[in-house]
Amino acid sequence: MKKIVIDPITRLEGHGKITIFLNDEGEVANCYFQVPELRGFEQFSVGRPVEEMPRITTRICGVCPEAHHMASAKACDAVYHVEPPPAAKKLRELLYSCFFVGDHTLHFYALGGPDFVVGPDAPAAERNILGVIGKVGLEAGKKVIELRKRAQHAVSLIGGKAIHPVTSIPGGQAKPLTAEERDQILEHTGYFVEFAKFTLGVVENVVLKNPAYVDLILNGPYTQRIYSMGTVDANNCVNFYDGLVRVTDPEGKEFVKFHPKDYLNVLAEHVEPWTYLKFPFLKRVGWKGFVDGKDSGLYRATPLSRLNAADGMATPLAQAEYERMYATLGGKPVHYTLATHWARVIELMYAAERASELVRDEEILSPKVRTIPTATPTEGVGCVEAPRGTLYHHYWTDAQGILKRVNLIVGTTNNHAPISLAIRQAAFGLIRRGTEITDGVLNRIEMAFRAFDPCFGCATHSLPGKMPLEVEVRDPDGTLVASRKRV
Amino acid sequence: MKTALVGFGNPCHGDDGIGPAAARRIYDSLPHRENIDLLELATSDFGVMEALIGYQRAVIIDALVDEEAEVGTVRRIELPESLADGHLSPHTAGFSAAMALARKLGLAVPEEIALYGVVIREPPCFSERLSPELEAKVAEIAESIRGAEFP
Repeated sequence: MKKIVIDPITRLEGHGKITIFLNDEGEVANCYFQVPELRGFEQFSVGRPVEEMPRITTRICGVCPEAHHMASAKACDAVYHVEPPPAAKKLRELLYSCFFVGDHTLHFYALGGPDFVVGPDAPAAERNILGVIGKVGLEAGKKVIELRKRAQHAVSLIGGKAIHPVTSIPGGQAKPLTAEERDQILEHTGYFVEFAKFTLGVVENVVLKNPAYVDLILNGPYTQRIYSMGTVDANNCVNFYDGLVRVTDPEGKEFVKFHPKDYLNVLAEHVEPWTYLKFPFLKRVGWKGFVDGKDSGLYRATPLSRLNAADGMATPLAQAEYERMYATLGGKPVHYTLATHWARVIELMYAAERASELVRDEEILSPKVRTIPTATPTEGVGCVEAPRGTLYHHYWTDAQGILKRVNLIVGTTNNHAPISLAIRQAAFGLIRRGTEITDGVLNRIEMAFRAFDPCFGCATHSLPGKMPLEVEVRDPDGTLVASRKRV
Repeated sequence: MKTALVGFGNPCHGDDGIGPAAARRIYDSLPHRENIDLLELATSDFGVMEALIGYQRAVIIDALVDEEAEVGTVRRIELPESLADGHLSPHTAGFSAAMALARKLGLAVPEEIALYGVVIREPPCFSERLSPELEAKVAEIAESIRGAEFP
């Protein structure tokens, strides 16, 4: 059989490209992060009945369709001026918590884990999920697979389908939960909590007990003192499904707390000529470029920022770990980008505990899961916390519910400027005069990118697994000095 | 032998939907479908691995961007042997790593995998339709893969 180089294979996820320019002294002169994003979903949606959106928007992304399904259903509720019954909200949040458990697990073991468990300078062939399993044990791999299977099953029981759920509709849910289904999910949530405990143990034993890794988190070129965004409940605790969006400043003080429908009053978007993707920033602070500090309007919307923006976690085991993280890392807020991996595991625990709470709620079996919309549709915003950041869906319709305009801010778009800043800081910190540009150096620059769990293009993925990220280092003449490209 | 016929791609991304379109066509043309399941997957590569558990054989059809090849060209693709090649995607493990993991864990994933790439151009925007150029070749594409895999 002929072996061919697949470059580029299916254009699905967006090929991220980092270009680092060196000056005559061999130091970093500038650094750009570019994404040729597949655009036009908003236009694709115009002219369609708005009630189709919860199903269609799951096709934006093969990674977090559940997040789009939820944000879209909530936007439809708002468009039709309808309040779903309590049981419908709980079913949605239960589905969403189960999804978070599966998604955060995969990121930790397949992406974030390799750098810490196997090591940032380990050969590329070992720095993967197999390397992680090699270190942590075969049993851990079996637990990951079992966890994912159970999470998908729970999502399918509530959402109708495991990958692209269909049951959240304007005004609530298309079907209630049966007692038999509830019992199955109940069993799964017990597994989720035990798995989250196990994963927190991995963080403790493999990462925190290794002084080199702790030093990398605290003293590596991975610190951005910027604003933090996240959704909070009435007690200012982290919530993924509903609440107000809170932003805290780099010192940890509340800067603004707003209803998601007011997002356009808080956020503005900056445009650069070298990338398609826009850079959202805090309007009141202003765009000051790729710089951190209180005077720069950059904000982060990640697991770490959600913890920074909240006063705590709403469940006991997650709260205990939340307190431990801040005590360990020198108090709140934390701006070490690599600590995002720890924050993600704390969120994994929260999602597991929250699912466990919701499935035990007697109201979850209520047959009243939909309020039939009767008002004339107009305009509405739906917002949830996607695993990769705050997700806004904003729809405008005519009186028949036909979409006239759509605006989406997806999780990673919030983080576009912080990712660019993080990569620049990593490049400037790691490449000095005379630095040999090794694979390890380029991987450490990628680590700044990877902590955000970014999703560009919001689509499905390529087979057989090309990493659509390219890192190039060029001299002042533009000649390629070094590159790293996954083929 | 239980076979998964997988159409991989996003049916809302224009020509990226060629995988599901071709797989559907092949499935509909088969005189005997016992032990063959049609899976239309628009998920992560780790998700594909998970969907293949329980099958002994998989035929996967994906879109492939190659500016130098004619649109509609069908290529049989070999999975990378080294995990240094394409071991990570920004979100998941990469298909090769996911399959290697599954085998290491003793999961019942297919031993026999035939992966086909159908050449497309970069989809310019979201669309539920294939381009006219590719649409005209779907029957031919499906037939060439059907002939090789389901004679």
